[in-house]
Amino acid sequence: MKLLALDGNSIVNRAFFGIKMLTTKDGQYTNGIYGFLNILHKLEQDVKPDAVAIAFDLKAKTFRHEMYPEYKGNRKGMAEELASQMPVLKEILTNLGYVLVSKEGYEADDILGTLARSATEKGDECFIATGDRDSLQLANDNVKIILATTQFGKGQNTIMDTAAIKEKYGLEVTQLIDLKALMGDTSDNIPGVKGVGEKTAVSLLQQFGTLDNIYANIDDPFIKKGVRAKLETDKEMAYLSKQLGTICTTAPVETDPSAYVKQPGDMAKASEILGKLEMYTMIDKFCGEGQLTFETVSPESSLETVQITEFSDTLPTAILWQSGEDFIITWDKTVEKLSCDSEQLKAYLEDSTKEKIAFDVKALYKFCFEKGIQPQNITFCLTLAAYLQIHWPPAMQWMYCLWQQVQKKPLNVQTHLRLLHTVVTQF
Amino acid sequence: MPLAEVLANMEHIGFAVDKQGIVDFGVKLKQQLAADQQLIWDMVGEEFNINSPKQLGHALFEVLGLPAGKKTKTGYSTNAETLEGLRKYHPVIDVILNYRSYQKLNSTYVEGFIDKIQPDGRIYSTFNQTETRTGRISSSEPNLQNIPVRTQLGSELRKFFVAKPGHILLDADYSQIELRILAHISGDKVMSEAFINGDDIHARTASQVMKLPMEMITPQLRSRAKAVNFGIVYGIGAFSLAKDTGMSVKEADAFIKDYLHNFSGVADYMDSITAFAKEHGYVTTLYNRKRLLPEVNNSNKNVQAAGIRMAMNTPIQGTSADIIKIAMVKVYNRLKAEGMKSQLVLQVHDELIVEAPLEEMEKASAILSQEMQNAAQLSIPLKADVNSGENWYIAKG
Repeated sequence: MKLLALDGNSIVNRAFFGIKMLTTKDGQYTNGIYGFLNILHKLEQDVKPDAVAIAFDLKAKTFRHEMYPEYKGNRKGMAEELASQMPVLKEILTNLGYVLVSKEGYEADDILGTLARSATEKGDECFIATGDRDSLQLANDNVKIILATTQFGKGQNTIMDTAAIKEKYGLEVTQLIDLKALMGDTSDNIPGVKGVGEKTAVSLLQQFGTLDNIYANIDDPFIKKGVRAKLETDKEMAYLSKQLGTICTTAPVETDPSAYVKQPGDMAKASEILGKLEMYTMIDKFCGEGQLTFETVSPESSLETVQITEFSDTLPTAILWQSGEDFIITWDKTVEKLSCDSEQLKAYLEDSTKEKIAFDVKALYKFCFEKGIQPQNITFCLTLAAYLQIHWPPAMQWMYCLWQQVQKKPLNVQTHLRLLHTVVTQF
Repeated sequence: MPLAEVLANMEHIGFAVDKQGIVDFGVKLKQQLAADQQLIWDMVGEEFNINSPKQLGHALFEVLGLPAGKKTKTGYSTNAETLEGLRKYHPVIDVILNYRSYQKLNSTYVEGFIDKIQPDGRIYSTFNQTETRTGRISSSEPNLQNIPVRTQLGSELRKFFVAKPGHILLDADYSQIELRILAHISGDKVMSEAFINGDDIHARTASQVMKLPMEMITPQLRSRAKAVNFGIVYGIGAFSLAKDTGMSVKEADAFIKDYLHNFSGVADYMDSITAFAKEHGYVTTLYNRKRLLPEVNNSNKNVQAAGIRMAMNTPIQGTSADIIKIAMVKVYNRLKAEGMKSQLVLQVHDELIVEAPLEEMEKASAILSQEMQNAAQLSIPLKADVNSGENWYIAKG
């Protein structure tokens, strides 16, 4: 089985900082969610996994904090704008059928490490997707690390297997932990050996192979005097850092990949949430075509089939819009149509006793100019109202559903839809 | 909504263009492009696709060995800023910069427009009033609102926008409408007085800030003042000002400080509008058009700063957009009411263009300037200048 395991927090961080602050009109931030879903989608397309596990950190202290209280002590709290997106993201993922996994006392990395180790033992293939380099130590013949980043809002993934890691760092995967032990890690506040940076650390490891071997040969002339002193001073720190930097592969989580196969979930609920967040392209990507029904947008409407009758001149007030060869005139569930070229339409438009509401008044005027009609009594425009954030009268809400029917197309993400949705959901 | 009718009419009427003129211009441009291309190839010593940033990067930084600047994700950066910095290293850079601007002129403005000319010799653009966040109208397919003004060659393009036979183009322009609005909204005494007296506002500004009498203001000082006048409502900083005017950053910083000291009304306005935006999360124009600005309370400093600039700028730019729209409707209605054949054909930010039969020229000009100046009652008079010509280049004056 091919398992794709994601470091949820790491990737959502990348998405949040990599994309400009998108919000819905209510002020709900969405850039982290949007970026995450983009990355997830691209990963699934590239890897084509049989199962997907998404690991998240929990707030509780981990075993590393107990070992070294200052672990990750340099981290400021999560920005409010990102924190507000986390529960929403998790809800979306669960409804889409993804299996999320977390364990108190353990970090997402440890969960990934455990899944990776288990896959290796079974001979399965495992892809770990993360936004940072901490997981590189897990790479082996069965396990590949994908560094996921966003480029202009799109997912961009770099695969790091054992060969790629060797090329980039000049070290074997097994040496990466010792590398961290020596040079530390500023983002996690792992101290390492003070004064020893990447260059020195790499050269020591290339020469001696392991941390133990370096200390076994501490008097070797290869090691410069200053470096030797630093190594000796911080020997304890080095080994502590090694422990902190080692990803645990025995976290008590489910390791059977079949437990992570995508569930059916609740697509309708997922579409509803995504719709509220104005992420219509995501609905298409994750929920499949035709999932967005107008039920998700306007709860009071229903899937009636609409009878379009011939024009009867009885409507006092009506909404008009052009649909191809006809003008559609509707009010409160009555729908009538008139051919664009008809005399009746001209008479209706010029009748000042009939109040008319245009869907797009500019288009209506243009139509009239072209036909030489002088329209009278046009009192409102739905598109302009949406732009100016003015509420539509309640009787028009239903019109939105009608519009879809008459267009005979599945809903998509065009500007009009956005405008309509913005206004309709204000009710 | 009345504006929708005006826009629909403008879309319906279109704008006459000299098709042959544009085509010939295109031919000339292509010749120039070919010549430049050959020159560049000769200088570099090999042929390559100058339009490909990848190949250009290779040519400049590998073949010619020029110092490479920024690296982009796909290779070397060859953007305008990078090239500007390389000018002194090799004469080919100037040729490349020229080539690029001709290329843009050709593809966007020549070929792009030629496609859109209808059999009747007119271009029919679309005008949208539901696109922008400041309330400005946008133009598309083609975009007639961003034809280059500053470059010599760019402004040549306007020669091809013409009045149909027997007609003339009237081009009416609001003189410094945004500054006048700023004076009105901020109530700044010095600025208001200058406008009411009919002073040259930039010279007056320079005189005020540098503490020199008007007669001693040189063109250079005037243009510095002009840069600050226009930049202040966009939240211009010392860095950008220095870049625009050739002052040192220190001088620019001092200039801005002196400016705000002298125009204390403006300084106060900038502070109070920022406070308002932070408290309410939006700002409004004089006509109560709202713009939501959640950015002003964002934790990210850069996002917040951008939000504050929008908070200062939107009431000004938004009000000016509102006034122009009112003017458009008034002009349209007046022309209609008086049974005239003259028609509004284009709006570009602060400019309105009317296509008028020759015999209506005087009357239409008067209507234009009257209705534009009456579009709003501010504490400062609005000024609209009207020029005429058989094509846009001449009419712009």
